[in-house]
Amino acid sequence: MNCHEGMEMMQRYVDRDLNEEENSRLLKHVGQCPDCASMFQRLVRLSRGLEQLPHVAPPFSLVDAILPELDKIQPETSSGLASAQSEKVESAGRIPKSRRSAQRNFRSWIPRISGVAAAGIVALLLLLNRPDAEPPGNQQAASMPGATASQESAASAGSLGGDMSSADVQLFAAPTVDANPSAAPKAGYDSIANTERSAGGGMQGFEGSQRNKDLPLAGESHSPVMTEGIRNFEKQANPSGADAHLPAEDGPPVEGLPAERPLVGEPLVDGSSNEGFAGEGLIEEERFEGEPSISIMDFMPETEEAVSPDGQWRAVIIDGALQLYRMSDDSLVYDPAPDQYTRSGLQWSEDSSVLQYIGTDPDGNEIQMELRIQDSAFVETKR
Amino acid sequence: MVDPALIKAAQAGDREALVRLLREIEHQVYRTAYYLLNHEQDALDAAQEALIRVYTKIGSYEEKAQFHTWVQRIVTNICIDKFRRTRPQVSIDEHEMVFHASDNVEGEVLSAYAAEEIREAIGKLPDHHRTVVVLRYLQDFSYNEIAESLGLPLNTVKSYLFRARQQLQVLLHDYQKGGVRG
Repeated sequence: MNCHEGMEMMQRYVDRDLNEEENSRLLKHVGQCPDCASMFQRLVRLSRGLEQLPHVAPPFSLVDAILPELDKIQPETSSGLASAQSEKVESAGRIPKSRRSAQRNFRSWIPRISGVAAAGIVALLLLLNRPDAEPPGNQQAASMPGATASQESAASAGSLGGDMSSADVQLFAAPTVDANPSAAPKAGYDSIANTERSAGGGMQGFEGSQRNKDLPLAGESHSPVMTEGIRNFEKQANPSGADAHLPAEDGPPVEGLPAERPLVGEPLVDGSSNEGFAGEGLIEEERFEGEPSISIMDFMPETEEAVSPDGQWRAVIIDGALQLYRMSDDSLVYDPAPDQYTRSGLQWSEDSSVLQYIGTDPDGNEIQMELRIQDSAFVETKR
Repeated sequence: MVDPALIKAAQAGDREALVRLLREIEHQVYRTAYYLLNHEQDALDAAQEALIRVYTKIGSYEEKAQFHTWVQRIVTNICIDKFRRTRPQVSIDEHEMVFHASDNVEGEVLSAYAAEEIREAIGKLPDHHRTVVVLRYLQDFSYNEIAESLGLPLNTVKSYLFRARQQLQVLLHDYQKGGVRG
């Protein structure tokens, strides 16, 4: 096992994704490679820290806070009886939760009152002229700026309450690296190896929702929060404007890569798992559809390699990330945290002290980059 | 685990069931929003927006997906929207990365990372890396569940998660050494 492979296995180790055989291979490597041992130790410590993050709870009941608003909304039922009217009402008023919200609502309160009055007059005129028109009442629901002080103090009191379950804390009891690193982590692994859950079926389920095209325009009677909500709904009505969220920031898309080896205790998700997103989905689902599904960071590496003229270093680019190995013992000496640049075009200087290459950012802009090697320190600069 | 019967009742138009359903998920929704946005008030706003959206869209949920991954998809999308609007992202690659070959943990004080430090470091990650980390650690999602939530291929999820942990490790290592980055 080389260090790169070891790194990936360490990552899978902290996710309890290694089988027995992989586990012992990793521990054997870690036992022999001090660099990997220290990396392993840091990674385990990090993962333990992440697992112990407090499970924060909201300082007050969010559902209670939105109940008055929910009362005005007609949810879509599974038979698809959504009404655009309900969306309009949804944007009409939210309970202020804190001083900030109260201020926002206060600012919008006065125009809201005048809005109500104006709407009343307009409605009266409309009714006189169009007797079949609906009264405008609930679209101008008043905000509720009262009762915020106590919520404010509650909000400041309870943000990081230690709502952490003991199970969360204990997941990583054992794995530490010491003089004899092969024994301890295994115990930890065994005790947690079976906790992985499988995800079950695919994602065919998100089609069929009704897209609401009849949306309210942002008007002066809406509070900032509500206007924000309306913008979301406007986006919803305009799927072509839905922007891509997760992928594509780290480089050009690579398509059609197969899934890698099966995971312990987890069924593989194959290409069919996403087919449900193609149809008429919710805005939430649309966000991710039609995007490049795989980024350059995937583990079907595109590699490039260049050995320095003095034969001392071997530079490798894997998935756009640069790594440097010392040739004498094939140890990984430079492996920085990934960034947005995709590196390519490795070129060593004649004296082997500078490695030059091109960095391409997600927008396709190229910059010249270099790695300088001085006294076993590596400094990357961008120009 | 939310009772499937409760979901069915909510979908059939039982308002009480729907409100009960929201009560069951409000903590998990808030938790994700809190760690994604790293700001209590923003998290409260985003979580409420997400709950309202679950309420209005419950009819479009289908059992083929897990309910909790569907819910997390809604809240992560809202948070990412919110985050993009309010905060320009600080990229850690604006700074030179120096990596010393002999930079190992010998002699380092191996104290546990403080939750606060970790939270701050998570806040420095790019959106997609942060989202994957939050779902993995704050929702205890498997690779597959994260993939299902975000509509991403499994490999991409792993790749984001692995890179995110590498970045966090570097950031936290620097904190502990007293360095400031980002």
